[in-house]
Amino acid sequence: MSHHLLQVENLGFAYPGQAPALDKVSFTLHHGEAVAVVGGNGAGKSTLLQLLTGFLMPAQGQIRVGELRVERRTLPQLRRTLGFVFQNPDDQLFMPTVYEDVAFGPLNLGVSPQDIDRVVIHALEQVGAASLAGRAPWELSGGQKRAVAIAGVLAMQPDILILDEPSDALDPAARRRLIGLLQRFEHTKLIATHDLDLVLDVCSRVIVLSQGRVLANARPLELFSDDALLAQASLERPLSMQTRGSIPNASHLRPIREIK
Amino acid sequence: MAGLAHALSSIRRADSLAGRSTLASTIDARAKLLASLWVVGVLASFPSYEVASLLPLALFPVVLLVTGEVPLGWLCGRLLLALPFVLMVGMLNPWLDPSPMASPWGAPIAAGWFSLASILLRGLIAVSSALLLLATTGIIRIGYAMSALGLPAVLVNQVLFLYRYLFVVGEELARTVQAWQLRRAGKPRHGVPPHQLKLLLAAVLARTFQRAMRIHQAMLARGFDGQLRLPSAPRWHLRDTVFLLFWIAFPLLARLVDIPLTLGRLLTGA
Amino acid sequence: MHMADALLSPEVGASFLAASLTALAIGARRLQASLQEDSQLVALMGVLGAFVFAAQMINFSIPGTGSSGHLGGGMLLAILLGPWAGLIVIASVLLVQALFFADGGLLAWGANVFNLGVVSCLILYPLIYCTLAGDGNSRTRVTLAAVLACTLSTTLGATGVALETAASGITRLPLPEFLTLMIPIHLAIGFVEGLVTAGVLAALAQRRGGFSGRPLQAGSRGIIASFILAALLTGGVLSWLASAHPDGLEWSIERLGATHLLEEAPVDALHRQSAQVQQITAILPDYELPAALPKAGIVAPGVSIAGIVGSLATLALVALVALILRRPSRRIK
Repeated sequence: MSHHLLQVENLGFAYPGQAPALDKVSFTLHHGEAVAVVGGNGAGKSTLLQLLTGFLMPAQGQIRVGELRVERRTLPQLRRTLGFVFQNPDDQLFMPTVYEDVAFGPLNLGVSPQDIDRVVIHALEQVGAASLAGRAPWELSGGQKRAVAIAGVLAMQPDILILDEPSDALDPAARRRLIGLLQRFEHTKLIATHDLDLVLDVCSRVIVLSQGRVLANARPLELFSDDALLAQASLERPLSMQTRGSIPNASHLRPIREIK
Repeated sequence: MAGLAHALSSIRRADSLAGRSTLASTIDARAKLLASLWVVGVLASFPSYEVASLLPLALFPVVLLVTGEVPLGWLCGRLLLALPFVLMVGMLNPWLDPSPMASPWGAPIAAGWFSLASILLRGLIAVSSALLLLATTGIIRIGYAMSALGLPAVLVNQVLFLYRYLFVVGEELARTVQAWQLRRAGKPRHGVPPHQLKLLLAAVLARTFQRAMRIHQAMLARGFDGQLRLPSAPRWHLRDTVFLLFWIAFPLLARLVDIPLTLGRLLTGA
Repeated sequence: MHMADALLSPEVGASFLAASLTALAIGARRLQASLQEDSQLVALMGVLGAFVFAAQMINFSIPGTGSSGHLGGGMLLAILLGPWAGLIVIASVLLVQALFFADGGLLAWGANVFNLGVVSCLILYPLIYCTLAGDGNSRTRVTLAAVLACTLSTTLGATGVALETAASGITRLPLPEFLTLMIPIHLAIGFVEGLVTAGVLAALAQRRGGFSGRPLQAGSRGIIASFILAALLTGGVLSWLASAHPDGLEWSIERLGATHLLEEAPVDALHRQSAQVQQITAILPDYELPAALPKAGIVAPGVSIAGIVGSLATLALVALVALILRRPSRRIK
C-alpha cells in the first residue's frame, strides 16, 4: 500500500449540456485520515462521490486508490476497497432482513456460507446493532437504519469508508451515537456533509467545494473561523462556534433541514 | 387514499404477527406451504353440494390459529374483507338452482342453498388457511421455502424485493395522493379522476425509477454481479415430516370418509 | 377481479397453476441471462412491483358511470420492463396479495397469474400493443395501442375468471349471465386503465426525454406464439374437463337419494313451483328437471339427524383439539 491511499488529480466532469460539475479538483487522502467534503447544494459533492465510486467516469483527470486507477476494469477490485454508505439508507438496505442485508456484500465477495454468520454478527456488533439481525429494514428507526447500512459496508472490510450525508434525517441522539461510532472507526474516511459540527468532532481536514472547484483544503478550526470563505461557499460556522445573533441574517442562511 | 394507507398498515400488522416465536412458527415453512396447498386442493375436490363433510378440514386453520397464537379478531376482520366476491358469485345459487334437496329438518329446500353454504365454507377454510400460513410464517420465509421447493430464484427474489419496497413506494404514493386530496376542492368523488391519476402516478413512477437506479448502485457498490444468492434453507426436522405427513393423510381421510356422517351414525345409532 | 379458491375445482386450479408456472419458469430462464448484462433490471422490477401493488389500491372514477375501478398494471409493466419481466412482477404482486389479503388464494394463484399476467404480458402486449404502437414515438399510436390492449386485457381477464368458475362447476352461476355481469364494467375499467397507462407513459417520456419502454426482445415472438398455442390448448382441455366434470347435482342426488326415497306430496308442489320459477327466469334452460327427481329429492330424516349430530360432533372435536393445543402456551404465560 502506498502512503497516499486516495489520490484525486485534476478531476473534471460535466453532465451533458451543463456547466462543469467538477473542474480541476485535486486532493489526497492518507491512511487513517478522516476528511470532510463540504459545500452548498450544487457544489459538486454528489458528483465527486459518484466519480470516486465509479458510477460516473471522469471526463478529465484521474482517481487512484492505492496503486489502482478508477476505471471500468478495476471496479470489482475497487469496490472491495471503497465502502460507500449512501445518503438514504432505504436505498441501501434492499434485502428483506437486516441479517441478509449485511450478508449481501460478503456473499458477493465469495465469503463461504459457513463463515457468513461470523462476518455478519461481527459487522453488526461494530455498530452496536447485533440485536437487530432478524428485523426487517422498514421496522427500524432512522438511526438504526444508518447503523445497519454502515454495518453492511463494514462487513466487506473496506480500507476507505465514503459516507454521503451520514447525519441526514437523524434525531439529535441518533446523530450523537453516529458521531461516537465514526470516531471509533480506524478506517480512512471521506465524509460528504452539511453538518459542520459533525466535521468538528470527526474530521481532521476539510475540503470545501464551490461551483465544482476546491475552494479550500484545511484544518476544520482554521477554516470555520474564516467567515468570508464560508459565505463564499454558502456555508456558515458550525452551531457550536456561533454565538446567538453573531451572524447577520443567520436564519435565512441556515439550511432548511435544520429549521425543520 | 384510505385504501392504500389501510392496506399498508394491515400488512404491517400481519407481519408483526409472523415475527413472533410460536409453536406454529417453528414448523418449517416448506412443510406449512405444502400442507396449505394440499388442504386447499383437497377442499376444492369436494363435490359442490357438500357442506358437512367439509367441516373436518377446518381443523387445519384452527390448529394454525391456536398453535400460532393468532388473535381470532384479526382473522375475522381479514375474512370479512376477503369473502364478498365469493359471496357475490354464490349468492344467486338458491335462485339459479331451485331443484329440491332434503334439508336436515326434512322439508326440501333449493339445492342452491347447499352449494352456497358449501362455497362459503370453502371460502372460510381456504382464506383462513392462506392468511394463517402467512401469519405463522411470514413472507420472507415463504419466499425461501418457494425457492427451496424449486421455484425460480428470479421470481422469489422479485417477491422479496417487492415486499421490501412496498412500504417505501407505497407511502410515497400515499403521500402524493394525500397532497392531491388536500388541494382539490372538497367535492366527494368515487375516486381519483383518470386525467389526474395519470399525473400522480407519473410523478411517483419517475421517482420510483430514480430510486431503482440508486438501489442498483447500492447493489453494485456491494459487489452485485447479476447473480442472486439466496441463503440455503434451514434444516428440516422430524417434526416437519410428521406435520406434513399428517396434513397429507388427514385431508385425504376426510375426502374418502364422510367423517361427520360416520360420527353421527355412530352417535345416533342410525 | 381475482379468482378465488372457493370457486375453483382442483383440475382447473392445477391446470392453470401448471400453465402459469411453465410461463414463469421460461421467463425466469430468459431473464437470468439478461440480468447478467443489465443488472439494473432486478432493482427496477422490485420497485415497479411495489409501485403497481400500491397503485392498485387507488381507485379511479370511471367518467359517466358513477362507479370506480383500479389499475391492473400488467400492460404498463410489460411496456416498461418487457413481457417476461412484466409477467414475473405481476406474479409477485398476486402472490403477496394472495398471502396478505387472501385476494385470490393459493390454489387460485395460477389462474390469477394467467388471467392478469399471461394474457396481458405474453398475448396482448406482443399482439396488440407492439403491433399498434410501433416504435413508440407517436403519441396517438401509443394511446390507441394502450387503450385497446388494456381494454382487451381487463375484459379477457374477467372472461377468464368467468370461464374458470364455470369450468370448475362449484357455483351455479351460468356462464352467459356471469359474463354479462362482468364484461361491461371491465370494458369500462380497461378503457380508463388504457388512458391512464398511455398518460403515464407520455408524462414519463417528457420527464425522461423520450423514454418509450423496452423494445420487444428479439426472439420473444416465437415463444409468445407458442404460448398462445398453449393457451388455446389449455382452453380446449378445460372445456373438455368442464363437460366431463361429474355434474354435482346428479352426483349428490345419486348418492343421497338412491338409498332412501320418500314419496311425499310437498315435493311435487315444490317441484312445480320451482319449475315455474325456472320458466319465468329461464336462466337455466338446460336444467329441465328429470322426471325421477321428485322421488329422488328427499333423504330419510334419520340420515339427516345423523348428519347434524355428526357435524356438531366434528366441530366439538375440532374445538377440543384447539383447547388441547392451546394449553401449553398458556402455562408458559
